[in-house]
Parts: sequence; C-alpha cells; structure tokens
Amino acid sequence: MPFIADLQKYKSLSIVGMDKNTGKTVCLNYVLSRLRNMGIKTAVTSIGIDGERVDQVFGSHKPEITLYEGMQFITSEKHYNTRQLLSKVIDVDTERTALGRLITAEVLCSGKVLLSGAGTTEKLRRQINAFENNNIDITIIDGALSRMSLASPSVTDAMILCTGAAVSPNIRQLIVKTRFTFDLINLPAIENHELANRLSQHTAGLWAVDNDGMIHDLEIPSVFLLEKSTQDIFSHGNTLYVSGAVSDKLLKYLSTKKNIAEQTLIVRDFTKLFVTPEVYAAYTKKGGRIQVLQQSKLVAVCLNPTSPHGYTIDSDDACLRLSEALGVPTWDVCKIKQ
Amino acid sequence: MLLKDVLAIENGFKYCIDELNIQSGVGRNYLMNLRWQTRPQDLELEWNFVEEILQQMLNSETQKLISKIQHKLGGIHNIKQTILNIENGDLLDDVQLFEVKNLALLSIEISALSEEAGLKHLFLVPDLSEVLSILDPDRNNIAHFYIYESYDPRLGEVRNNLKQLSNKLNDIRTTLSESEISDYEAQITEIYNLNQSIEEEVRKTLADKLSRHTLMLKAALERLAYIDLSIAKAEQAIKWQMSKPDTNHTHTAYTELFNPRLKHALTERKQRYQNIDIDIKEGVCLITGANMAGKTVLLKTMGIAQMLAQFGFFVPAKSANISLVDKVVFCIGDEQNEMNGLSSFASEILKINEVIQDSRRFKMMILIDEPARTTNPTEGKAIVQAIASTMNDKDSYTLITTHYSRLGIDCRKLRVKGFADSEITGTITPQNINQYMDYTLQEDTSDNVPHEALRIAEILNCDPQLIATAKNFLEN
Repeated sequence: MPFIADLQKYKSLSIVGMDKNTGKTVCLNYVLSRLRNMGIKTAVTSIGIDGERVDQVFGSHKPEITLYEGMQFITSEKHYNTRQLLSKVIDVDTERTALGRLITAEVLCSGKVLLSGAGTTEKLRRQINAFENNNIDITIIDGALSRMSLASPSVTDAMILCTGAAVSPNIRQLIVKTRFTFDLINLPAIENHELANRLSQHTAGLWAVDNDGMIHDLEIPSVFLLEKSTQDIFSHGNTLYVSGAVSDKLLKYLSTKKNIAEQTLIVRDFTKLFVTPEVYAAYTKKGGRIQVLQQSKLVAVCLNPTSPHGYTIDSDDACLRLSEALGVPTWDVCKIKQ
Repeated sequence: MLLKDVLAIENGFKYCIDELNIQSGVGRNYLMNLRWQTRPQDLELEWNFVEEILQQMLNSETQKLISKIQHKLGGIHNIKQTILNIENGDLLDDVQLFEVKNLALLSIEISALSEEAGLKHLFLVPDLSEVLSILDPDRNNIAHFYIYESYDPRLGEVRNNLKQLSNKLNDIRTTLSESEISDYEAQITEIYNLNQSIEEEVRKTLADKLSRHTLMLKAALERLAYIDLSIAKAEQAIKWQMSKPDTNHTHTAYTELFNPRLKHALTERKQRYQNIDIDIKEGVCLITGANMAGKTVLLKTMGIAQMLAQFGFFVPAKSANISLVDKVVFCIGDEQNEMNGLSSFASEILKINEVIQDSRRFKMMILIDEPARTTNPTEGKAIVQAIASTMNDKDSYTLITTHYSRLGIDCRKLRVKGFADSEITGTITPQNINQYMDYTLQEDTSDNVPHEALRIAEILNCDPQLIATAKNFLEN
C-alpha cells in the first residue's frame, strides 16, 4: 500500500498533473479506494471543470471518480444531478459557476460522480478550511489540466505529481521534463523563518533583502517593469524577493549581472515559477540560486504510461528510470491497484 | 420610480445605499426595487418599523439577538425560481428541495429569535413549520436533504441491497476480472435505477404537498428580505445618528443636516465637518456665498436627504420635517455631455427647460447649481432671473446657488456666512481652508452677493501680480 500512510499527516492534498492525461483521476481513485475503511474522514473537490466523462480536450475516455460511504464532496449542480451514487445535500453555495452552484454533499452509498469545483485557489482555500472545521481529516483536490497553482503550499499541505506518456512519449525526454518540475518542487525553503514570515506579508513587487535581514522596497511594482527601472537592484546586497510570478525574462536579466554567482532569488513557492528548463539551467549553472518561502511536500510521483494519442511507453522501465533520476519511488497508476 | 433607477443620479446617495449592511441577496434585491413613496401614511409605516427595530437595538441583549437574526438572514437564498417550479407542478431535484427546507428552517429559527427579542409581533415571519415537516420527515431539524427512507418503505430495502453489493464489489474488486466487475456494476446500476424510480414517485408526492404552500413560501421570502433591509436601515440610522422625519405640506426643514459621505471622509482625515440648519418653503430660495462655502454640497445634501426619506430611510440630520415631492431633480452641472456634441451650457439649459415643463405637472425638489455660469454674464444673469421668477410661484421647492447679484427677484435668499476672519490664526492652505469657513446659513435681505473671489485667491497664495492686476481692473 504505497504512500497512503503518509497522507494521514496532512490536512489537504492536491493531485496535479504535468500535462493533461497524466493519470490524475486514476491516481485519485486509487487514493480514495485506499482511504476507504481507514477511518480517515475524507472530502474531495476539484478546481475548475474536471471529471468529465469524456476528456474535454482530446475526447478520449476518462474515468469517473468513485467515492465511498461517509466521504464528502463538492461538485457543481449540473454534475450533482448526474451522479451515480446516493448522497445527501449538506450545503449549497450562493455563487454561480458555469455549471451552476457548488453543492457540498455526503455519500450515503458508494458510487461515481463527476467533479467540478471552485474557479479560484482563494475559494478552494475557503472550502478546505470549511471542511477542516467540519471535522474532515483530509481534503483532496483533483487538479484540472496542468494547473499547478493548487499545489502551492499556501493552498494544500501536500501534493502528488502525475506525469506520463502525455508529457513525452520519449522516456528520456519525459525524465528530463519531470526532473525539472521535481527540482522546482524541491527548491529549498529559506532557513530564516522569521524573515520568511516578514517577506510573505508583501504581496506585490520586487524587494531587496540585505545582510541583516532588512527588507527594502525597490519600488518596482512588477518584475515586468524591471527593464524600465534605472535603480541598482543590488544596492542592498545580493538577495532579491519577488512576491509574484517569475518568468524567463527575469532569470535572463539576472543572469547578465556580474554578481550572478552570489545571487539568491527568493520566490513565494514553486508555483510562482513560470520558467523553461533551459533558462533555469543557464541561471543555476552560472551560480544563481532560487529559494522559496515555503517548500511543497511531494508525497509521490505517479506515472500514466498511456498518452491521449494512444501511445504507450514501457511502464516498468519508465518507473524504474524515473525513480533513479528523482531519487523517490514512482508508481504506475494503472498497476498500483493490484 | 424604483431605487435602482435613481441610484446613479448622485454619488452621495449611492454611498448611503452601498453602506447598508444587508445580509441576503433577496434583501439587496428588495432594496433595489424599493418604490419612491409620496404618501405620508405609507412612509410613516416604513419609518415606524425602522424606529421600533432601532429602539430594540439600543438594548444590548436584544442587539445580540438581532445580530443572530442577521447571521441567519445571511443564509437565505433566493429561491423564487424554485417556488415557481413548484407552482408549475415540476418535480424538484435534491438541491431544490434542500433550498426549500433551508428556507423553512431559517424562517422558523428567525421567528424564534424574534420572539426571544420581543420583536415577533413586529417581524411577523410567516410560519413554515408545515413545509418543514414535509421535508424533514425524521424531525432532525438540520439543513441536510435527500429522499429519506421514511418517505417510502421500499427505499430502505433497495438501498440496503445497493450498499451490500457496492461494498462487496469494493472489497473484492482487485480479485475480479474485467467481465466480473462489469457484471457487478450492471447489477448495481439496476438496483440504483430502481432506487431512482422510487425516488421519482416520492418527488411527485412532495411536489404535490409543497404546491399547497407556495403562497406562504413567497410571503416568507419577501418578509425576510424586508426584515433584512429594515434591520440594515436601523443599524445605519444608529451608526450615523440619523433621525426619523416628520412630514408636512408647506416646508422642508432640517436641524444639523449632514452629508454622510463628505462627513465620513473629513472625519477620517480628522477634519471638521459642520452640520447645518435649513428651512425652505415652496417657491425659490437663492443660496449665495463665497466660493468654497459649500453651496454645491448643500444642494446635493438636500437632494440626498429627500431621496432617503422618500424611499423609507431615516435622514442624516438631528431632526427633520419634510414636505414630500414627486421627484428630486439635480442640475449640478457635471452632466456636460461632449459625446452628444452638447456644450456645458446647452446641456444645462435643456435640463432646466425640462424641469420647468415638469414643474407644471409635478411637485418637485429642484436643485440648480449656478445656472448659466458658462455663458456671458449679461445674458446669464437674465436667464437666472427668468428661472427664479418662473419657479417662484410654483409649489415645487427650487434651490438655486448663484454668484449673480441684484437679481431683483422677490424670493427667499440664504447666504452662507463664509470666512470667519477673527478665527484665522495660522497660515491658510487649500488643505485647511475649510477649518476657517463658517457654513451657517443666514437670511439675506440685501440683493448683493459676497465679493470674495479675490480674497480667496489671495488666501490660497495665488500670484500677487495676478491679484493686483485683477484689483486694478476692478477699480477701473
């Protein structure tokens, strides 16, 4: 029974995919089937539209989610009315989504349902809190498309990363890409907790941190305006904090600076990094370092050997090589059930 | 005329509406559809309702209960569509039935709280206990809903079978072949469909039973929306120290009238706000005074207070005795519409023209800020004279601010006192100038207006050369 015991430590778990069709739903079904009978009160929801019977992008088969007696879930009114299970309504949200209001319900007899959830991570956070207040032990969020934002440690405590043939049918490429995401997830958190706490208060802009841990406003509201600024961003030392998104552009810009080997760039968490492997590699190779305020807890890496185009890779080989490359076990979601 | 139609007319009025602490969507909806009232007896009812709540809110114990009621009101959903569905005899799904049950439960809880608060006779929440008993057959009194087993004796057995089979499949799924799983799933689907068809029969019975209560459901929803709004009105009246107006047919008078938005903005900046007393009679009242003496604010505030009163709110004053009108018209001059190709003068004069025509049919409050100020002073003055003499014998209340003197019209004149020279101690800046202004209104029998424009320019430290040149021109 791989990694399930670890889940008891967390209040919330996100299941995110590196791409579509990387087996998030199969993985979720596995986790739910294991949590059943473990006496862990579980709630499930998703972000955005997901759980469609037929995949919205490729039109391929997509498994529904099986929920068990006693579990709670949130889905839209439309999907609630098409459920294939017995459940009771316990709350109805006033806000409307494209698929109607969000319904919170409790399963009376196990069966299948399509999940669709909140559109924003902010709303998701509120739902997780509400479940926690209702004595739910763990809330599991099914990711949509390749959205990573829900894996932010400010939203969910832990995550499962799904990868697979959909990312690349070439195992070597698949490993390179997965390894890159894995590295970002495992970026080290800054050691100074007190500083991390102070930095997290700043929700916008670019900030400098000097050697005494003092934070200085560089008065650049967004890193996208960096080039327009004439200010020396390293006048307070070599450490910068960016509260928002970080793109290739910023890393390239920083790579051109002469103090690149001494630089430390602090970001909120790995979901704020929108960088390509090449630019990231160039930045780190020159000596640049990236740290996060909060590190994400990666519980497991799961692999779906089948791509939506019908191509299947050798699962055993891929799992083995991924496990070696990442240094953590990787599970085939299709075989994990046995 | 509905509140939502006039909301955008004046920002200060919109501020008062936006600041109401309304809990429910139905309450906000009710607010937006409030009607402009012109009959004193209708308004008395509204104001008295607010007054009674307000009195109860002053008692801290009752206040707590009212807060609880507000919290419950926050859970009310707008289920008008569902009620319509019941009326049409449609079957309701679990979510809709949950919503009806939720309304029934909340209204019963609110009714109980209002009894505890001594407000039951006032709130008169329609009794939905029969609706609740339909949707809560097990008497759980919690807002959960599904088609309970107690609705139909067959449901228990069917669901037991369903559970047993599902659990068995879940337990042994990993040991089964694909086709064995399919067999199990087919059996489960069959039982599930049986369950659905029994549920369908129950839904029919429920729809039938509920259809006898649609009037009560509508009444409850409407009443709760009204209570929500009225509590918000009372809360605002206490917080802003507003008062319940009296009505009469001949004049409109306030003591310590204030403009809520401006007062709050100034208070926030720790600046002084001066309430004012005013009493106007039918016909025209000219308002004169130096620049920066708050004449425009006065016009706006008069309009806001009148509108609040006629939509059933308390007014921002210590006391008020008002004459009800058919409508309030603002000609404040921010309505220049270049998009229509009209100059500021053209759009202003067209608006005034409309007002004058309307005044033959309606009793109005007309607020005109410095009419004809954007054209040449010779004709401009004549236009103001014409407006004033035309409106003076109408039964509308026309307030006109102006800088033109010697209009020669026999109408009421009020003058803002203006600068209190004796008070000036330090340096005057555009930021603190309002500290030295006395906004008190006084009767003015002369036909002259204050000539303080240059003085104010001086106080504001404008170029001395400019001021000297202007004085030179003035003397010659």
